[in-house]
Amino acid sequence: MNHTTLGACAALALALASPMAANAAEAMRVVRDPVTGELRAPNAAEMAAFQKAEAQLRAAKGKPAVSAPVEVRYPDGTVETKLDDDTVMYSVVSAAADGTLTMDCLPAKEAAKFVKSPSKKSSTKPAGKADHAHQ
Amino acid sequence: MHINDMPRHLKAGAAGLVVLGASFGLMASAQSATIVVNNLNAAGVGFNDTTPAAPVGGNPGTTLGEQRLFAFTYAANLWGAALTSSQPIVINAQMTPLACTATSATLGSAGATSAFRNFANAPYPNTLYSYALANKLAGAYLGTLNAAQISANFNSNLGLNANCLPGRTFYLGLDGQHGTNIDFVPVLLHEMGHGLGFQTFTNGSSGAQNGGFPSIWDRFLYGSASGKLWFEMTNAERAASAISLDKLVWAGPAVTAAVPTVLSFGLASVTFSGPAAGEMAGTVRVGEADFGPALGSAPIYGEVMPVSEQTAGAGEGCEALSATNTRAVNGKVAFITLGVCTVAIKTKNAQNAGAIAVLIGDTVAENAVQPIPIGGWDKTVTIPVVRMFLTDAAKLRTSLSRRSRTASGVFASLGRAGGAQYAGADPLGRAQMYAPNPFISGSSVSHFDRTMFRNQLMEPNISNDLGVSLIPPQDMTLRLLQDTGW
Repeated sequence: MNHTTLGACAALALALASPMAANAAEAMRVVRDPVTGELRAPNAAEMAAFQKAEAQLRAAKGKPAVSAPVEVRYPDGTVETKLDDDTVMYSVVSAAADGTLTMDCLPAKEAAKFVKSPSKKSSTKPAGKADHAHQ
Repeated sequence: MHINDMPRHLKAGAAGLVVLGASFGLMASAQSATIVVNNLNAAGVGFNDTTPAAPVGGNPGTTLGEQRLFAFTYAANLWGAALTSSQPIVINAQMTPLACTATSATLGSAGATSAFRNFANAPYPNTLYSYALANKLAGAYLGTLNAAQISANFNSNLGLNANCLPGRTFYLGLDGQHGTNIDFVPVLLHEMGHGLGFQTFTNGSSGAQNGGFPSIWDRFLYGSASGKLWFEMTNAERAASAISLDKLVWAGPAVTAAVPTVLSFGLASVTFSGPAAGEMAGTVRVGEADFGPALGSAPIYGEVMPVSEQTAGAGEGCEALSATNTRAVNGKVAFITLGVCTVAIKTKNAQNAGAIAVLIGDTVAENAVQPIPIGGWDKTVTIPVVRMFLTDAAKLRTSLSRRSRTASGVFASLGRAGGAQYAGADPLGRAQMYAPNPFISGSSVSHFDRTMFRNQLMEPNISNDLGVSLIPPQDMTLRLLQDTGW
């Protein structure tokens, strides 16, 4: 994995970055101290909670999309909801017979339908610019 | 706005990178956010494709992979310059073969990997925030250290083989001169915007909240029909609001303040008059085009004359206009029915024949309060062109039926008299959000309304005239994110 850090006001030049350990996340754990707010290493109870949360994450990765959200609860009360493909936006494009391109932004399922049969997109998107061929 | 129009300091930032390694946070400053791009591609593919390429449009890469990565990091850097956060924003990025046919393709995707609630410093309890925003507000790296906040994947095959929109590749330059190809940078900016939090996690179709919790988005999404914000509504009320056309607005103060500087005042319109106007007399709303001059920049008034189809089946206005058609429309407003060829071609042919404007009659009924804008692109078009509703076009056709070869007695004035409000905002000046009926999963609610003019980066349709600005007076995307806490 190449790893590139971008500073918005950084100096100029394009460079491909150096390799980085793929699972660095597995090696480091920190918690926010509920009293001081400082980041520190977890205590035993917090480590146990981490391990439970990570087990949930690992399990979630192996599961197909489900209707109920997968949540991970952290010791300080933070709750993480893992997002599946339903919340990912896809850009799609189709070319009309005259060569005109129309682009749209759709979720995964709609994007898949769009690419399979773009000529039928009006059935799902009757009011969009893309529905008007020959624009 | 393209790169040449950008403020100089942004150009420098946009062109700049790179710090190697994983020293998270060291680059962060109060004036920007550090964006970390993890290139997930293996050697030789995607961002690492070694196919030689000539530098193009300010992109200095000399291989296809280098140019792709430069464009991607350029877009990420524009976001980095616009946002503030003490925490890095990590994007797991790759380019892989995605779904394609000969005439359509998935360009790519981006989305937040997680949403968080009840973290330290969260402005509202039990409210979902996208991962990168939650990190900013918490001032800490939530979840798993070094986990990506955004996952992005774009199509590595686009335009490069016969089964993937052949010949229509990503334009990897930074200057907007994409021609007939697809401008990569605006597409990236749009999708990254969703990943940063330009979306709700609530299901707009059913109204159900994700896990029973509202998104921060829902605290600013306002149904003007019910007088409630989305987080205050029942599921049924949200579902109804999501298909309320022009009754779904953004109630955030930053966007509302930006509306007057970004959107044109007055809804695009044509006012018909004259002795033969008949039932057509009066003002109707019209849809503007992505190309040609904007309405309101100069008064346009003239007699309306239709363009007749010259070759059966060739379409009205699709061929260079004949002497008869030219005599009819020269110095006048041409009326042409949609279809067969692009509006840009029709308009250019009418322009070449001396027309001063073009009215396009729609052929499809539309459930909307204003005709949709006209897509397409032709920088040589210098006369305005607008779209009329199917029903209005039918009335006009009737009014024109008694014309001679050179006169109709029907006159049109093109302007912004369709309503004393900003184009894409409600009468109270609040930005309209996309709420078509029927509901369009994913597109509805999580985009600006498509009637906005000027066109906005976060409309559901990625227009050809978009630049790379995220801020007023060109764009309101950053203002919306700032309303949510950015």
